[in-house]
Amino acid sequence: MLRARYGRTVIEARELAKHYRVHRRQPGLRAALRSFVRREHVTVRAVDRVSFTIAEGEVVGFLGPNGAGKTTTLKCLTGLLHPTTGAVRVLGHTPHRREPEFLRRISLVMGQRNSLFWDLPAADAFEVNRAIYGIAPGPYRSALEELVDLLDLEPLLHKQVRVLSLGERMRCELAGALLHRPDVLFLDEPTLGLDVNGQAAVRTFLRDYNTRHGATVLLTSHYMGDVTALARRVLVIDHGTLRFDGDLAALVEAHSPHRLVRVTLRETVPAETWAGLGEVSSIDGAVVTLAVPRAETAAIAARLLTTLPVEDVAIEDPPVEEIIRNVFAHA
Amino acid sequence: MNPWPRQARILGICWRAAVTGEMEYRFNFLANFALSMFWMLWAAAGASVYFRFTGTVAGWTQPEVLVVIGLFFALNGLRQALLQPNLERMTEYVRRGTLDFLLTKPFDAQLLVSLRHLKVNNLLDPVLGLTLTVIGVALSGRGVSAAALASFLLLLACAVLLMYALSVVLMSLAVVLVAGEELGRVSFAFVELSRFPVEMYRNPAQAVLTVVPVAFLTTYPAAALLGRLDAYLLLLAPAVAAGAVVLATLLWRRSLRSYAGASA
Repeated sequence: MLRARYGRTVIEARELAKHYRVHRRQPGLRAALRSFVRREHVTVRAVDRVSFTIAEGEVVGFLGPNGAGKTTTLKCLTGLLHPTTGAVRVLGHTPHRREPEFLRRISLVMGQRNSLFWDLPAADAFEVNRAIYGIAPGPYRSALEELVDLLDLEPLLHKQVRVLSLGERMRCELAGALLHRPDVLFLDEPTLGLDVNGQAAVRTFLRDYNTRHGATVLLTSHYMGDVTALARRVLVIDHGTLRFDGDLAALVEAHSPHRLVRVTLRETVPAETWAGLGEVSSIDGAVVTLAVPRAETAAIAARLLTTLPVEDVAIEDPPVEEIIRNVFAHA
Repeated sequence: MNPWPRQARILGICWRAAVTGEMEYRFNFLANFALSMFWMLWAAAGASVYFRFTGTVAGWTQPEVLVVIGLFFALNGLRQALLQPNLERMTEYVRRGTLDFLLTKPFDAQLLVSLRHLKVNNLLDPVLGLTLTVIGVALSGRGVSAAALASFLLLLACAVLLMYALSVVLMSLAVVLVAGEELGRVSFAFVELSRFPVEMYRNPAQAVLTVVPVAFLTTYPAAALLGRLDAYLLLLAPAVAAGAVVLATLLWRRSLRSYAGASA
């Protein structure tokens, strides 16, 4: 249903699994010595039979706690890891074969990691990418001009990448990753560590870029703001398995049976007033927040307005973070 | 389009930046020059001790040994300038996940990872070393025929390829082991063994060094220059060098297959 809005499938994971064999030992010197002689191995199922497809032009948010398997999935999709079982197709290629025709059409950006050469000025680092991707002078110039303009890079171009601030570097990273105009963009925590302005700049840019070039974007992030600002569809993964795949709005509805009604009062009322209206989630002076069943929201708001000295009423969904916590708590 | 192959252009950009960077530190350059001169003269003087009481050691005269010492300095300088700085960074590439990025690019990462950093100051050592080699040849009183010069250049190229192959093998190990700070010492030790002609070592060390193949680094190129090389080595050396590079490349690819990447 969701896919009908978009074009053909560009990313497909079928029963994708990635298991690691790691050696385990108890703490302490004796255990260390024993493990030196004989290793005890355990298999970690980082990703366990995950299936999904993503269509051309879609922006999909990939959510999950640390160690859920997001990055491992991303690495299988970019060809860095060989899947243990299952199949992955991206743009009609099998990623881990790392065919140049495939690699030329994707890009991977990871927050707080550098793909640009540190010791070079940004402009030279871009030149390296130009040579790597074999971009012809015409397209290179126009892509560079567009990126310099959108990301406001002019003042940064001739500074060495390592002297740039984190936010400046991330903007350069994005430019470096997009010079070859990839069809599929994989973003792993692209706003990690950035301040509010930096995060906003990156989000605005990514949204513009997706609209302009119709690139498919798969994005993981801890910051819900990234996901709500960019992605309509989310994949929720936990302990290596897929918990939810669908519209962000549907996720909110399915996992949050409550809405929040925030009431600002002209005068204080006794605590027992709220009994029967909803669950009080916070009282901050004259502002009281109630969690009320979704279906009864309108009726309860009307009752509040008629029976209490109300100055203002606001109705909203709980923060997505909370909803995601719910998803994992019920999993 | 630019006529240069892509690899050369990319390395060109990186090396140009290295040159620009190091040119800012003139004192370093001079200090390095003085230090290199000192170590080379020290090695040459040290070798002269052997020749106080005898004209030849294991069939090598003093000027001939100088040829080998010069070649040793040249190769070691090249190793320090081009291979060591890259090998040192390999563990960091794996730990920080930089390798992830290199591997998601439509490019053979091996060349870029193994050669992109350059320590310009150390490039002086090959010049000094080759100067000592020329002096040694002159003192030996032997003329150098065109054929001897050609075989020397061929064997020297083989020696450089061998060093490169070892460096790639060590980089592959760094990918698999993740901990690889000490691997640089292995490459140092390998080249260090070539300081003297292998004939000066007793057996079985001599046999081991011929097989390992330290003899191909300095002993055989020096022998070629001095016109005392066994002809079969002109075929064997390129075969050994090519075999080493192929093996190293296969090992590199194998190591990438087991590469799990730096975690998030």
